[in-house]
Amino acid sequence: MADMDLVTKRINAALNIVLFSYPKRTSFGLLIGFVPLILIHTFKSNIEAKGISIDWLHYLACELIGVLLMNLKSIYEAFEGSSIDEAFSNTLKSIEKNTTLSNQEKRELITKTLAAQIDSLSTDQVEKVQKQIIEK
Amino acid sequence: MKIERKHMISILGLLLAGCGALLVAKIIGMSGIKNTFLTSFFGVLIGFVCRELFKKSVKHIQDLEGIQIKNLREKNKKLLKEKDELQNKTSLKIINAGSAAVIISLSISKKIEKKIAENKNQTVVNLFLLSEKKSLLISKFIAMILLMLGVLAMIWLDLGPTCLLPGGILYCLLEFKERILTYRVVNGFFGANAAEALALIKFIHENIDDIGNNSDGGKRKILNDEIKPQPESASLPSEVQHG
Repeated sequence: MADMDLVTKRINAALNIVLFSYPKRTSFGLLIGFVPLILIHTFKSNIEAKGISIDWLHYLACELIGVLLMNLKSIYEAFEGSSIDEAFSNTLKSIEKNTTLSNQEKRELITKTLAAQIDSLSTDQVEKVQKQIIEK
Repeated sequence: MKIERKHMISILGLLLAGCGALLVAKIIGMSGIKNTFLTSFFGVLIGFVCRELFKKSVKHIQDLEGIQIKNLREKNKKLLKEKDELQNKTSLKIINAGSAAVIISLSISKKIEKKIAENKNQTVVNLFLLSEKKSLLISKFIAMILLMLGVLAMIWLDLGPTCLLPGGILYCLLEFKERILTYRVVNGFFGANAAEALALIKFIHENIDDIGNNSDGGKRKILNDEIKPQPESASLPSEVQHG
């Protein structure tokens, strides 16, 4: 029997790539891209009169531009990242790449790392609230 | 560029209103009425009604979600209260009625504890799934609007059936993603690899106020227990195994 964990993990990862990890942004992007598509089609004859031929590639480009526009923040985040995410992802990747650990051990370690992260975030938040109260 | 929920609902409502207005105006036009004022008036009126209905239905969904969370919290509180009361009663019955009453009370107490444990299964991953489902629902709604716009464009602008593809494909992908995600969470696979753990921590980071602790004061469980298939030998009778 196929390892459903691995199969569904791959499918999920592929879907995340297709939807740019943010389905809402991508959907909005497609919706926004539909507007110039309609405009181009409406004024197709006018544009073609100027010597530019319009085909399906232009329509596709409209949709892609819409998606890219809506995902600008995702692209920026991918380049920039945040200190918490980076530190955390480094830890997780080092756990995943470790060949001496079994899958179960890796799972347990990731769970522990997550729990630790939650603890640290809670403490940070309490400290922030404390600071805010003192400043006020 | 994070769009606030209420703004997004307003934009979607406006889009829906526009679609409704266009559709009504077209139908009136097709019926032979050439009065522009009448067509525009009814178009805008129906569009406005569509928008209000949409806003009300979204609010209804939000209210339902709120009620569900509230019910869960109340249930937890009630169970804890019942447990405390029973424990008090148990201590009284030790003095008054003897060991038989203690055994009965303890068994009821155990049942309640089991119920509390079941409620604790509302794990962080489940909350993540709930949040993702909500997000995917909105995305699916957008896909439906896209599909609707495609149909309108096909009818009025002779754009060809290919204009239905973006909405159609998007809807299928979103549905597939929801099913895959639900499957992974239900079977306890989700969150045990770097990418998903990162998505989880992002979610935790964004919603730390809501999910820091469990309702009974304890730490909330993070991942679901993995459901492992039973080995074939375990289901065989002991005689066969020995043989």
